[in-house]
Amino acid sequence: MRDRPDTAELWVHVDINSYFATLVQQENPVLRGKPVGILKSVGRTCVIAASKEAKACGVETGCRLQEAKKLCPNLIAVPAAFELYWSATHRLHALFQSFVPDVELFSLDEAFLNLSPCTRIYPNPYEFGRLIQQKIRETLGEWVTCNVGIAHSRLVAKMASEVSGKGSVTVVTKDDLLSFLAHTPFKDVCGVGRGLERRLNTIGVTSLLQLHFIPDDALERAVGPFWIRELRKMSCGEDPAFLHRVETEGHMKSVGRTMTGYGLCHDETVIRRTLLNLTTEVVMKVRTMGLAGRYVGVFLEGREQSWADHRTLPYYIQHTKEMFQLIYQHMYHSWTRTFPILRFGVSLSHLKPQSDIQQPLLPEWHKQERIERAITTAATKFGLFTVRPATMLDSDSVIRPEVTGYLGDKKYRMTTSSP
Amino acid sequence: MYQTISEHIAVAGVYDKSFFVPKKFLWHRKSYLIERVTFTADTKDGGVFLRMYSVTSQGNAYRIQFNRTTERWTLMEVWCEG
Repeated sequence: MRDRPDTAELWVHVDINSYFATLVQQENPVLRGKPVGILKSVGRTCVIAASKEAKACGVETGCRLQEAKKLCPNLIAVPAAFELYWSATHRLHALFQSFVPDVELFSLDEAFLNLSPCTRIYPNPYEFGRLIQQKIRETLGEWVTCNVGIAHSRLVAKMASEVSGKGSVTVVTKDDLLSFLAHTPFKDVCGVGRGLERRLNTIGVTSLLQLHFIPDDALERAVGPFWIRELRKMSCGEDPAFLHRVETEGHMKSVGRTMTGYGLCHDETVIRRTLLNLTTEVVMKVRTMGLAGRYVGVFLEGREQSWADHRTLPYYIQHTKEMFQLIYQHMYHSWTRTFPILRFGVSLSHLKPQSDIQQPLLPEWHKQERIERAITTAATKFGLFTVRPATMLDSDSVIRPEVTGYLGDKKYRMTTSSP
Repeated sequence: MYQTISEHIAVAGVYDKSFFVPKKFLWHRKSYLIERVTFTADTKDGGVFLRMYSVTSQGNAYRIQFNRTTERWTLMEVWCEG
């Protein structure tokens, strides 16, 4: 593959290898070279990330600790340190912005860099990839490695970093594109999940390039009207809709929070407290961004059963109390619980800036607004949950916000938390 | 496994290019010479700014934290084998 894709657009995709586990190994040299599995916290049983040594033994993200120990008896389980990972991502973001002005964090450990306007400063993309790798090692530590993919589109750049070996730089030129699309398996194509891959396999398609030889009607029968359009673009190496940038749309559209308990929960007090805790976090985030929402959702999952409900309101919700009352008294209590709860989730959607909303005239609402403002002020100064309901007084049982690998709340985090 | 300690400690160090580098800490009247700072992380909870240093001393790993508001040092966690 040549050094430079001969096209005006040039994207660099950086993917840190085994991010959570690598950072844990970086901060603790005792763990380097050993199989490490990251758990969400002490007592959890789901491996949310694995080091390259653990992956070599067959340990995969999402597998149970018991299964992981069978595959890899020497596995060392370490609880996650989400704030540490977010701090590292923040530093990476600042590092990337020191190279190019146009940077987008795609997830906690992945970023797209638009090299197009900087090709005079960095005429050799391969050397730029090497430079990025070196600077990441200097910033986060010598144990941290990353894959770099460079191509004319974000899709191909991401595919390139997926297929390249650990710690390598892969440049895909236009001359290489057809061969690259023909040989990249669907598991390395962003957006093509196992279900879609299975449906494509039924019509004999195992790579993006083969889509050129499938007529529209056959493809539509297999994948439906949405995917036919997206897959046609992807088969030419162009970005599908879900890789298009969304920054121009302004504010977030929805804020949600889910939490999996340590075990099945029958206790009504704990269920109530957990729903209140999650609702408090959601409303705090929405308020901090100056938004309000009118679509309230809740779901509860047991081991196999689940229940969900939602309400679309004619007015916008801005307070924890009104959202919690709706969730707990109107939605949860209208359902007769038939199973113990393992997973909780609440969400507030159809968000709109508070400045665009007519405020209610009711004195009771304004009283609640003053309370919420005082709580937000205390949280801004002394930390979240400094002021909290009496049912959440036990600080050890408070569920605090956490960063996820997908960085679904990146707009909130990038605008509000800068350590 | 990291063992939670959460006890206040005294720390001595140097400033290198405007960045504080801890060199040793005193915990339970015993001095621990820091061999390497392997990682630093800045976190924020409300208006409270914290800097966490991951350090090694005599082959063990420690997480020490500096509260930038109260200017207090805390030994947060120690790595224990097994």
